[in-house]
Amino acid sequence: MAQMKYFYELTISSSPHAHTPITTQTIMRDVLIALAPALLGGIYFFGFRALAVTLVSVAACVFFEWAYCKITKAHCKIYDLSACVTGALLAFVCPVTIPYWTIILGALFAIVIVKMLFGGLGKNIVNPALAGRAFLFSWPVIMSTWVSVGYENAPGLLSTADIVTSATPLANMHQGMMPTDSIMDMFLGNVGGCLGETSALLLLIGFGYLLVRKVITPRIPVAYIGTVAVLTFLFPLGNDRIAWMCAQVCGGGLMLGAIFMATDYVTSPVTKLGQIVYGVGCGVLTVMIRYFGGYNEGVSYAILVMNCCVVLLDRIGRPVKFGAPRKEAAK
Amino acid sequence: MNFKRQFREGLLTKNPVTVQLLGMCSTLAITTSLFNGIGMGLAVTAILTCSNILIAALRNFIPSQIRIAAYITIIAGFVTVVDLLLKAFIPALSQSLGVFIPLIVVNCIILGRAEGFASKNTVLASAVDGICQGIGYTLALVIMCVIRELLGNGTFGGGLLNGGEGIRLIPSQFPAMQMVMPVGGFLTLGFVIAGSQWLMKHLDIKNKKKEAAK
Amino acid sequence: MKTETTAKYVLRLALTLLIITSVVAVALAGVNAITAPKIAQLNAEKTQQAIEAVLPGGFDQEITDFTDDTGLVSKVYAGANGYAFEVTPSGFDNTITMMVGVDLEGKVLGISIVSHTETSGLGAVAAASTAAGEAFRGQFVGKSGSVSVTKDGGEVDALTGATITSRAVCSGVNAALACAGNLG
Repeated sequence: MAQMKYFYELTISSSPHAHTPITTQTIMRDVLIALAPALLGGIYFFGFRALAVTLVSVAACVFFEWAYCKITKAHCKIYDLSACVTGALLAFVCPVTIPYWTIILGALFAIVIVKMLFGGLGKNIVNPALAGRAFLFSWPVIMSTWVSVGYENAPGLLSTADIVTSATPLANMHQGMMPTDSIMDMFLGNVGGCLGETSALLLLIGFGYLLVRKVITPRIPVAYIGTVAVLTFLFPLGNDRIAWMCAQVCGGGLMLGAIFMATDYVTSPVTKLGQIVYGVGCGVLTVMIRYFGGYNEGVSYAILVMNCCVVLLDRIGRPVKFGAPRKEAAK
Repeated sequence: MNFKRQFREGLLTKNPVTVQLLGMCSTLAITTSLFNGIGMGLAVTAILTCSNILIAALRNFIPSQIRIAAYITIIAGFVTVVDLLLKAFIPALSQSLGVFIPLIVVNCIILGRAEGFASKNTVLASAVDGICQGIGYTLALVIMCVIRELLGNGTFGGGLLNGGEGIRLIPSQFPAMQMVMPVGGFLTLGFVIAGSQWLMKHLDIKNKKKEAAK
Repeated sequence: MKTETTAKYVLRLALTLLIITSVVAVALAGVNAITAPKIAQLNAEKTQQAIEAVLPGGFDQEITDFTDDTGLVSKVYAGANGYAFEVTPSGFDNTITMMVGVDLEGKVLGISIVSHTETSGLGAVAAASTAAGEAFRGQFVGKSGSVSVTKDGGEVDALTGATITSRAVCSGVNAALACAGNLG
């Protein structure tokens, strides 16, 4: 009996037994750190309402995940920080003037319907933050009100009544014109747009951090942005090819989408070839929607559509089993 | 035939929308106001009952090789009659449902019940089947309509109450427009199916307990 | 079922179908005969109402020999106070059918949208009986020559988030104005 007692204290589990310090939590923490520069940029360009909207969104996402787990009596995993990332990304793809109740409903949709009902993190088919944004187009006027940048135009924390609206560079480009803002402004983020998407520079800093920490590989973002660059260079809607290409690449949510959303582990392919095809697909769809679509911006819908193709893209570029006959491998 | 069982099947356990998943096109498209749901439900019930009766009456007369062609002809005839009558006497409903009334011809519920039930059963049983399945369809449609109209438009009874505007329950800036768009149709259908599954399971457990108590 | 392939059986199939289709056809003809006048009357009333909404005093006759360079004008009605044009510009989703009233001096009397499939909440505002819809349609009253939205350098304020619908309505009004100019 004495021996049996010790036996029960052993933890018996199946292999692998090797441990890695990388967990979902550390990855998500790195993503949050990488998003920080863009948030600071958002606060600088649009005022403290940007911070407030982001915090509300993050809090709502975490709360809804916790509440869902409570109600369904499921194991609660809010400490993996994935809900925080979803909340931050959702806020980043909304205009800074969005009312708080709207972003809370967006968080509800993103977390409960898109993520938890499909089985939680790892089982969702599409990116929750982008699906939340798509759902928020239920209020199209709210989602297409763009405040002018600058300290004096910053919307109030509680009231957005007397804001100065402006056209975004994307709206200009959608009409086939060069944006009124300079390319430099667009690169730095000194233009109208969603809360966290305007500054290509700050997003690229986050990209660099993620690459250094090896959280993501450059395959999807490079394939995505490269495709958009090539297509817009080949088919410019103006006289200056280079300027048009730069404006398209820096404008709208392309950087944010390509770096932080298209690379979502759950909703992107696992094979190298699959990832490249996925990135190219996102790029082609983005350009098609920007050129021919009804909306100004195509990034979110392009990524959502490609998310749905991931199950197919995962089949291409699979490594051949060692020692498998060629014919069988082809099958 | 057991009419009570037929009624139960039509309403819940073999509901054409939530269990058989028939006629999805019109279900998803028109469930945006109570008026639409009731109108479409009644139109389908009327057509389904008539076609079921006629097909059951002719079931020994129609050779099996040409049965589908014959059924479709009969169904299309009834649909066109209903379409013309609606256009002449309830133009508002005809306008609101648009192309979906003529499309009842290809609504799988009608052909499905013709092939699956009326061609093998008596006229009376088929008539009851048509009415029960029609009520089940109408019920599912009305539930979807109420949910989508409330969440997507903020009103109840659109096209019917309060001079067609419906009774406003949610102030007009809050409702989520996507709920009356296609995506809302799919979402609502999913939830309604889940709800009906839950209800069936719940009733099942209850019945078993009852039997066990005996 | 041995006789399935015989001529007699094939004839039976054909005859059965023939009987069913004939009966259905006769029944439909009957229903059509009852409902056709009623439907025609309803359609005429609807057109009448749409015209009266944009052309005070209604119309006396329909003009069939009009010159239309845009290809958007489908019907022209003439009345004592001017003309009503049924135009069908293409909107965001599909064609918009609208009625444009133009007075004898070539000024827009009013517009009304008969049918459309624009996005609800955005483009559909153009046809709505809300304050925003009335304000949008009201902008066209009194305009002459050609109209366009402010983004294109014109005077019409586009509906929020629905530039394409607004442009479509403008192109419809322009087609009507051009056609009115041709009528003299």
